[in-house]
Amino acid sequence: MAVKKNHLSPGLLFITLLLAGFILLWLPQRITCHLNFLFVSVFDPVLCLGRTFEAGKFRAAAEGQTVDAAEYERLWKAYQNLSAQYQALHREYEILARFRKEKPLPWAGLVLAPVSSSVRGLRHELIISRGSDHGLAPGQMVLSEKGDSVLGIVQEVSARLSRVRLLTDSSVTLEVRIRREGAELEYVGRMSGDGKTGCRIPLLSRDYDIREGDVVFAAPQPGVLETPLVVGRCVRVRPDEEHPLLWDIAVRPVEDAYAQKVVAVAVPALSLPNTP
Amino acid sequence: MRWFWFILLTLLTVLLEAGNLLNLIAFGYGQVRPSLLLILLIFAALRAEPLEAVGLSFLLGFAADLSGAVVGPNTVCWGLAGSLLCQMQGILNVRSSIYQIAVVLVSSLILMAVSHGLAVLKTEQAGVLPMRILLGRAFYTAAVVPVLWPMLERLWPFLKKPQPGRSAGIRLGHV
Repeated sequence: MAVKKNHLSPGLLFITLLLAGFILLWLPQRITCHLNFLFVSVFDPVLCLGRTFEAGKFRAAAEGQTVDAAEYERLWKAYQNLSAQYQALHREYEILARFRKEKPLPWAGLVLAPVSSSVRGLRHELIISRGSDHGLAPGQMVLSEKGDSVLGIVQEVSARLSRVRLLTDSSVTLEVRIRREGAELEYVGRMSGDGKTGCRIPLLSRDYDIREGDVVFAAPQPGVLETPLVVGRCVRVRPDEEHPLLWDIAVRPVEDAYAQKVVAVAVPALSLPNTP
Repeated sequence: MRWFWFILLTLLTVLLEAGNLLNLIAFGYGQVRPSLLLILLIFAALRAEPLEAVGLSFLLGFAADLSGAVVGPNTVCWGLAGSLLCQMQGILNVRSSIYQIAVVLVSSLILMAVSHGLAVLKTEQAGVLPMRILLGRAFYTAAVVPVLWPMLERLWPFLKKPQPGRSAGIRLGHV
């Protein structure tokens, strides 16, 4: 018995596939992102091939009177973070001296996450091997392995994988504080990635005394980041060409996110899976 | 079309595109890399039968979406572009390298810009597309055409089912 051949016209196939494409486009990103995560999780070993690291970044510190550049960077960040924490504690003390706090803030925990793969180009992203099963959620801060500088923000999560948008990505904005070493005064601004290798802080008045070399901290946010953490340094401070009364500030991140093998995610202790 | 081998080729290309191996030939602050999938799309759409061309265009678009961050924009854009290119098989003379480069360059510029716009619409995230990266990626993609196109030409007879009365790799119009 002859089987009737099914004739599908190119036009019908085109309309069907176009409709399917529009449905995929119309579906919310929180649903379709699982397809991307599935692809990454299936082909993770292949996608990891070719990730390179600068060998110098992982050298041990030299003995003696001097330290190498990596150790210097670590000490510098620790010092800046301690100074910022000291200032925050000092302000808190001044408030506490007047009245008692009603409820203490939950202390954030750190979840260490290996970096699976990275994207550099139109987007600046890392894929990390931890997800909602480990307490991660969109909006959480991603720090360097030692937890001493901010690298990016968790964008999307699946059960075991997460997508991290780096600070240099043009779609990321972060509330920051700019402070000079030894100075008490600090300025609040919003930093956004420039889509290249750094960040920009726009809309700050030229009345503010900001100079090259000033340190930029991520501002504390309740439930996300409890203390200020160093982000980078101001590498260029000049008047904005379009708005001469405002500064055009370029910031260079203190840490190369693409050189990280492991990152830490600041997770509120309440959302950690093993928290009682 | 031998779909198994074509899907395998697509998978290999997607893994190259999504992974880090292509970083070996990337340049600039934006790590500009060529889009191998896009070259495969244009090549195949200009060679395949209309029915196959429509199917493979959407397939390659979906593959490009999977290797990226947002699902949908490339499926729609590449599907439309591939189907349109298929209809222009008789008009575009892609035997000359110059024309191949020109077609890939123009298609890259349009497809990358439009799919980025659709991705921004879908995710509702304001993200700028640096012109330097867009141009760099499109020109780099066009620049590797003289290397990749002849390789695909040699590969095409294995991907396409031989048909009686037709020479491999060239679709002749009905007389």
